[in-house]
Amino acid sequence: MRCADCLELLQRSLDGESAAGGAECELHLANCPACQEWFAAARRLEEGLRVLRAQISEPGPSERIVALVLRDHALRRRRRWRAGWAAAAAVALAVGLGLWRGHYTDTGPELPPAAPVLASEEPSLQRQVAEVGSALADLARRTTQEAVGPTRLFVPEPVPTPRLSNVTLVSQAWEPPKQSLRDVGAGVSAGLEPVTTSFRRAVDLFLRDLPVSPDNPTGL
Amino acid sequence: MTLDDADLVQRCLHGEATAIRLLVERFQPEVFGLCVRLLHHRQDAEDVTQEVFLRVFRSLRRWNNARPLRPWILRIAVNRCRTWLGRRARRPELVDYLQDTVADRPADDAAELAAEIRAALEVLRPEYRIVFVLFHEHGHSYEMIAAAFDRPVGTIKTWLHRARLEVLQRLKRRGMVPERHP
Repeated sequence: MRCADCLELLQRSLDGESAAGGAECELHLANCPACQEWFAAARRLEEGLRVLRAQISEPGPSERIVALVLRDHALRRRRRWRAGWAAAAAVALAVGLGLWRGHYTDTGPELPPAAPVLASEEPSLQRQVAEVGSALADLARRTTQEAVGPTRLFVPEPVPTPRLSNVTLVSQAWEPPKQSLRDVGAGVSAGLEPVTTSFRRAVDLFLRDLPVSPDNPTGL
Repeated sequence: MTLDDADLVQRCLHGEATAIRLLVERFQPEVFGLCVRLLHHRQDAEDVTQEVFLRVFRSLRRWNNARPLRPWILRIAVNRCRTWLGRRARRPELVDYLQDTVADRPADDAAELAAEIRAALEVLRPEYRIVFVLFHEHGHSYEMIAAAFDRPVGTIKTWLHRARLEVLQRLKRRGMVPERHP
């Protein structure tokens, strides 16, 4: 028997298999110090493994894992619900928009029978559009005021100054910039005025072009 | 009454807290034991065990119930341990050395021998080490380990034999094998 065969037998023995050819290996071992050393090391390995297997590991973090998994499970289920609701809402919105567009662009005689049902919803829709128009006009006005407002901060308020002898008053020196900033403020205000009016006009035109329902001739 | 793995998984998929608890308790000792033996660091082992079970429950729908559950969970644990070992090899931490020097100081010959085997395993390739631990310390069969690694039994056998030779070599080199008597 060669050393390699003897080592193969050693491996099989450590695998827990029955070691056939043990007698031949014994003969080889008697005359081979190298293989004797391998077998001695294997015996030590088995001793050490018995010690390692006997070492009782502490209980693991069972409770923490269960809590973590349950939390994760709940979180993922909530996320799935949210995603489902969001998708449903998106679909409903898309369908609603589609119906609305279809109703206002399709004025021919081939209107579907559902048209009268939709027509009953026209007043509230028109009112909503009118509200949006006035809100836009308000927004434009407010934007104008906010743009002009800060420029007023630069205009100095009249502060009472002590009368000093031998010193010339500097209040006169403030007058030109004060005047100039006021001019800027008025200019910006005047410049944005057309924006406000054109917004209002656009919304008015839009409202005028909306089809009027026979139930509500005012359109509101 | 003990539930079989397939029923347990079905109940876990329905979100039953008791089933989830049961599944964790059924497999956690083995997974945690494997992590402790491979990582030699309790905190790391706890973290990896948590990761393993999170992954197990997140991918439970993908488990093929025609196959046994244990090797499937073991595979996830093995993969997480390999990833962790790879990460730790790139970033050695002082804590590991402290644990090694203070907590695991051998008291007698048996403890010293065990410590030497541990140290020999530390320097093995991660695959060799995991196979060695699964076979010799957890007592898993070649087939189970092959299923966990998704490799042929022959490959696992080769890995284990090489791992053993390296460990034996170290035991000889470190004087853990008694001298021959003429």
